Amino acid sequence: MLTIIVRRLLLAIPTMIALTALLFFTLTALLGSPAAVMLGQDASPDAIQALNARYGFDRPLYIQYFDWIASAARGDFGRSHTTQQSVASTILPCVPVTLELAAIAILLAALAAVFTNTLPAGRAILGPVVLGANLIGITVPNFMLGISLIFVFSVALGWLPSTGWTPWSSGLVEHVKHMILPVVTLSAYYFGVFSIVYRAELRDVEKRLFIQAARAKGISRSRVAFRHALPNAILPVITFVGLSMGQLTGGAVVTETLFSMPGTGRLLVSSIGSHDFPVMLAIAMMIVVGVVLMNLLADIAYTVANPQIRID
Amino acid sequence: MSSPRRIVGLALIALILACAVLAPWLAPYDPLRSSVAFLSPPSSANWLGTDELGRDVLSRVIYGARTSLVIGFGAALVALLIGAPVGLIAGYTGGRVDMVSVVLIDLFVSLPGLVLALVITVMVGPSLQNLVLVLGFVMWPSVARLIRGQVLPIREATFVEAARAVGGSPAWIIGQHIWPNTMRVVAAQFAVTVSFAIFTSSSLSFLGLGIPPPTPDWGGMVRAGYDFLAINPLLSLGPGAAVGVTVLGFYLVGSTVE
Amino acid sequence: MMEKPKSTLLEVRDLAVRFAGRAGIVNAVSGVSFDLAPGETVALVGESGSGKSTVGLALMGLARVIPPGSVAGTVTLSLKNGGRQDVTKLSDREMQKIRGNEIAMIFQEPMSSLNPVHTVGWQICEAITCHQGVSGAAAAATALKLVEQLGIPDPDRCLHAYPHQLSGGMRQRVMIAIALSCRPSLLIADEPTTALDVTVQAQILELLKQVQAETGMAILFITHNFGVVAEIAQRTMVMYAGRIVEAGPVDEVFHAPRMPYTRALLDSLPRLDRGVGTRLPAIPGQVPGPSALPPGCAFHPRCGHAVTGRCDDAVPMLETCSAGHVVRCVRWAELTGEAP
Repeated sequence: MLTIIVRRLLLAIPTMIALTALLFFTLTALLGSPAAVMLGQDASPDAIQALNARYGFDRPLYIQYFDWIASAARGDFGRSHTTQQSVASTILPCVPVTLELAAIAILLAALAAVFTNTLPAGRAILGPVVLGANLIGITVPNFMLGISLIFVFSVALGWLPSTGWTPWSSGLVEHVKHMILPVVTLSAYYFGVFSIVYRAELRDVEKRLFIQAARAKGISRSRVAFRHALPNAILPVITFVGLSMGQLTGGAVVTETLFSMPGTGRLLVSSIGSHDFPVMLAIAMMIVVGVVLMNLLADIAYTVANPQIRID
Repeated sequence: MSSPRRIVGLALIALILACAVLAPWLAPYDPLRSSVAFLSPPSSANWLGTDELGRDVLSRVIYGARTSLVIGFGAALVALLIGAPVGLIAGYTGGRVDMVSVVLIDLFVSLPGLVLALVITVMVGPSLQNLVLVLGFVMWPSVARLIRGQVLPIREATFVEAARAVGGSPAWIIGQHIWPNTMRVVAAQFAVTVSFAIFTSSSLSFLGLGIPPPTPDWGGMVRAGYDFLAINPLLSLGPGAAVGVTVLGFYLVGSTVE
Repeated sequence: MMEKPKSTLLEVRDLAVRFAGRAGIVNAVSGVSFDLAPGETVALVGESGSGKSTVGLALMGLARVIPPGSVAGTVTLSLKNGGRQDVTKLSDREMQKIRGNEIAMIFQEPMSSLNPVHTVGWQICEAITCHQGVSGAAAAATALKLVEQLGIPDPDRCLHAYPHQLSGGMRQRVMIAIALSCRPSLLIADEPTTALDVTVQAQILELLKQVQAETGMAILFITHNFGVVAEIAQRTMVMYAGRIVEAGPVDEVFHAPRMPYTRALLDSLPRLDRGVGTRLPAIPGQVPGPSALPPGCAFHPRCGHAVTGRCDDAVPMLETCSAGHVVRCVRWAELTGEAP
């Protein structure tokens, strides 16, 4: 098993290098001139020239790339064009916010998807409800779901606040109250996706002979469902959890914007809006690295969870 | 064949299509005409009320169907036009070409689609054709992957062997034998792709990267209406529900055609 | 009816299993009746589609019945505690106390009948814990002893292994260990040797006979392989299209089959005393699906001795042709004079 992990890790490094390079070149190519983007359409050629010189945008692309990588390795991502503070200090405080939101939402979605679809009794009674929730989760966009929830729970009932963030220091209860709506909004989509994947796998697993053999042993239906079917059917869900976490590395853009949460997603949107190229680039790179890493982790998790691969 | 899900899906699509095509006859007012009666609540004159510029919300929602459908179908078509050939060639050729394609596709698919679309749209500017192209570009890998998955087992099937034995060239074999079999699956996936395109484009509009005003655009309407949620929630919930209904319709049809 | 042995372990009367098919209700099994005495081995023989596996599953209360549909008839079991119970009347939860405990079942594919994500030891202990209420170290000790007794080499390592690490023969032994862990009085073996090599097959059959001698349990052996039947069973029942068409002591049924179907089946076996180069006689036609049964005797369209008016009229009854030997054919007496 160790050899598999090491091999995957070694593969991940060149992938990251290739992707970040690709991203860097594509972004700079598409932008034409990053300086022009940062200054806006009506900037004078002199101003653009000055900015180019200041940021080194007039050097050959590959030199810019290596320079960026070298600085990034030291933790220096340049300075934000809008705030003039270091990019690192702009992005860093946003990371825990997004991390908390994404991790809780995805975990919640995975647990809900697996449990509601495993309980034998639950499937009979809750069945249509769960199916309905799945459908809503994957067809109604985040923002609509979020706004509906805000309307019901915040505007109409006044139970929960409509913005999503108070720091932990302000108290646990307040923090949780503010997180509930954003977490539910974000996890709805993943609940739908995970449920579909899990249900499909469960259907296949239940047709297999060992499920019938387990029943023939005289163990209860719920034990067969939870100790025999679930551990087999959950494997693809693990992969999807990893992939989803990777996708949310750059932040849950819509959810954070809607609930005004100070996460990397909202930062990305605002940096795009204010043409803050250094910040944009740093976040985009972060996403690439995050996706590759989470894919790797998902692969490893799958390998560990499946004894048929894990052992010899 | 006629499962209830499919029928509901088709009905919803028909409804939205009707709104798009028959908008001038269905909508009670001109969607672009502003008036002094801004932010008025739902009434018999304006079923959903009026927005901050006094425009009738219902009419704007009806006309908004046009934008959504054009973007949805357009993007799905672009995705198909790029993804289908790639998938077919990768699946049929096999070997190195296939391996490289798979790695590329897998990586692309695991990137967050919305973020990708976001970043590119900002670069190139939000216009109707740009949105169609960008979304199509974001979605082609999943189409390619699906088609490749269809081609792989068919490649080894006996009738392809027979065709090859008779001396058919690869291009001919692909066109004559493989493509018709994948058509059915592609049609289903097309509907799902349309639903995903509308899903994503409305999110882009919500973030401010949709069709520039004053064209009625559901996502943008939701964003604008958010500020007035307490006054008239239908400003946001109306167009939002329209998005949900449309996406649901295409998804139901696409997921039951198998 | 077959002669009833002294003390019956299992009494099956008119067992019928019906499924709701696309075109209406299909009878997968009809009118099956037989007895099983403690310690005896009875073979249930038939081709695929004859309903033999369904009988086994029905005895366990596991026949998949999609309403409308049902299991009808009675299956009376003599319990270990002395009582007698018709298991068809039990709810699923009550049936759980019977399965694995009073009646155990082993299946055809050893690889697929074991859960790939749990160790073998875990799966054996699960059965022990479930029915005997012991857990942890006590269950593990019992499992170890079982595995030793069944002749598995390196028993401790085996318990910690996953199914995919073991060979087919070892896995089937594990299955037998699980089945035996709670000392059932009846073992239903559904084609347990079909997926194994011939040498391993022999070992497993030997093992089953040994276990039976030690524990006195009865075996209902479901198979399509006559060689295996001859090896292990004292009585045999032949099934066709969901019904028993012939039943009796193995020697008699093999050497003096009365039902044309049985005779044709036996004829189609490769034999050493046939001339080299002669073709294997095959039964023309195919086994009818349960939704398309012909009228009267289900075998008559393929039978070389069918007579219109008699064989296609009503389903023949089971008639006794000699002690303990029954046959479902209206012409059995006339056909006995002909050469087998």
